[in-house]
Amino acid sequence: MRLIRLLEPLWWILFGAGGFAAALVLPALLLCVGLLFPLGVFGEPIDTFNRMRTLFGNPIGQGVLILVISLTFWHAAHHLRHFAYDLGLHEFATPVSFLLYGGAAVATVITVGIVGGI
Amino acid sequence: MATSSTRTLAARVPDGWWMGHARYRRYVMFAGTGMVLALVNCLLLVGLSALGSGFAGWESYQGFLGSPPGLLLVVLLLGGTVFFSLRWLRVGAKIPSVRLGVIPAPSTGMVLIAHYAGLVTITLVVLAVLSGVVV
Repeated sequence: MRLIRLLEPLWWILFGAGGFAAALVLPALLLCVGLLFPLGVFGEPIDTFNRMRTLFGNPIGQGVLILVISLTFWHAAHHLRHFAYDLGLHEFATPVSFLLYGGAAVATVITVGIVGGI
Repeated sequence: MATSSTRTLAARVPDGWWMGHARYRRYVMFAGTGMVLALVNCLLLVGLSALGSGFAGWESYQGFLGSPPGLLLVVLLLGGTVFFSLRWLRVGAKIPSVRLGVIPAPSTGMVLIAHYAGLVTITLVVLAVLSGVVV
């Protein structure tokens, strides 16, 4: 737990940055990819496929996606860690912290792998 | 700064925690959005993986999202994401601002307006880019 406490400023930075990334970008991204694309508002699947490949098949688009998605994972991990404390799980602080931050680290690696493969 | 090694009791759990009052319920819902955001990310990553695999994968992913269960899932996640977004920006506006040289610190109301303006602007930009109007 000492390591977790030592890195507390880092968790808060990632929490804050991830919160703003998620709050500002995620609603529009989910609206487009999850709702407007499938409903055909922005064209046929082949159109959205080509557009998405053009936008996110280059380092700039991929960098933006990796930043938004991975920061959101770190934000969620920190928020859920403190929520676990609010629910009275202080005794399990160490496993909860390692589970959540470890999960965010794994998710970041997976995000880089998936987005890099576009 | 020196820190005390004296152990202290954890703060007393307030009466009615955690569903006894509207304020607590909203707090719990906001904390629960951590799970919603993680699920949204997973849904997006499945789509991006499908995008990388080729058109057949992308078409299949879009087909699922267009089905009734897919639409229900997205509408629920979108509701949770918008709730998080508005509350985060409102809470964030309460962080004390600092004076920058001759520029006075803005009021909380000004910061809140700036946050919402940022959300609207970025939403419009993302819509314009992903719709193909720009680029």
